[in-house]
Amino acid sequence: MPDPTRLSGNEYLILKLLTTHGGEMFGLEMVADSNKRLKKGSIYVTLGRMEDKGFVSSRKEDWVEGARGLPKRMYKITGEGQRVLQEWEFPRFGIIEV
Amino acid sequence: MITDKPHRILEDFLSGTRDLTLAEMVALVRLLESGALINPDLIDLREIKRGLIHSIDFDMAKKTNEFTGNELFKVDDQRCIQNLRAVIIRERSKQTIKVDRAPLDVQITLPPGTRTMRLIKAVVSEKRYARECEAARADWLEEYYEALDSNSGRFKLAIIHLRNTCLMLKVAGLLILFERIIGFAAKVIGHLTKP
Repeated sequence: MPDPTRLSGNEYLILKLLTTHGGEMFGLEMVADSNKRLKKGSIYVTLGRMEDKGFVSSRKEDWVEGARGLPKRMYKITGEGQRVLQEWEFPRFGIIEV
Repeated sequence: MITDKPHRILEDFLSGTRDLTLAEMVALVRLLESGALINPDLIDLREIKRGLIHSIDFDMAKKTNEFTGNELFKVDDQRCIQNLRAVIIRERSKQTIKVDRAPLDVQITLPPGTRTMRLIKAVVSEKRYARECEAARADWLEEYYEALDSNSGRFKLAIIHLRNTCLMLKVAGLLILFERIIGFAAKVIGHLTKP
């Protein structure tokens, strides 16, 4: 099991956003919803690292005929990511309660 | 020499408020057909004698043995007007297509970031390119097309281009490399120029 203390601030925020959103999100969407706490230049590096750790999974958006631009990469939280998020949040509240 | 805007001259000609010499007309047609990129000063009138004009059918020109290019065409020359109208309609339809594709910059031939992506692809791993760089580029294009839709000016498009190029280099890990190379070069230059 991954060490929950290794979850960085940005990683926590991304997991939280994906949980709150309840579905798939793409990078620019996360940056927009993060209230300027996530940066465009670092989001994909962070997401790539989180994917390696198994916290999130990604897929390329389905190509729609007539769509402009490139298909986006959609990210969603994995079961492992949800467990890590819960474990990371629980001790915080525990310490406050004690 | 044509000094006014070609379309304006043509409108004046077609409305009967202006006469044109054949040389002016040839210059106009060439300007229209070339997308107004040819300098009218460079047009060689000798080509008219050789019969090399294919864009427009100058029957009147053929009737004159010593053709100087200064004969005036008047608005009552119906055939000439028909030909000119055909050129105008053709060129306007081309412009409409161009405008639909890129309202602000008809000279764009490559989507933004194509060259940057080529550079990055040659340097970073395939996995990183597919997962991080392509995702970042999709965001770049999204932002670019949104700016085009909202009729943003060239300055804003240039800012988007510059910012996203830096972001792409950062995502690929090349920005820090460039910074170090520049820093090293600055040190070397400083060392060499030291008295």
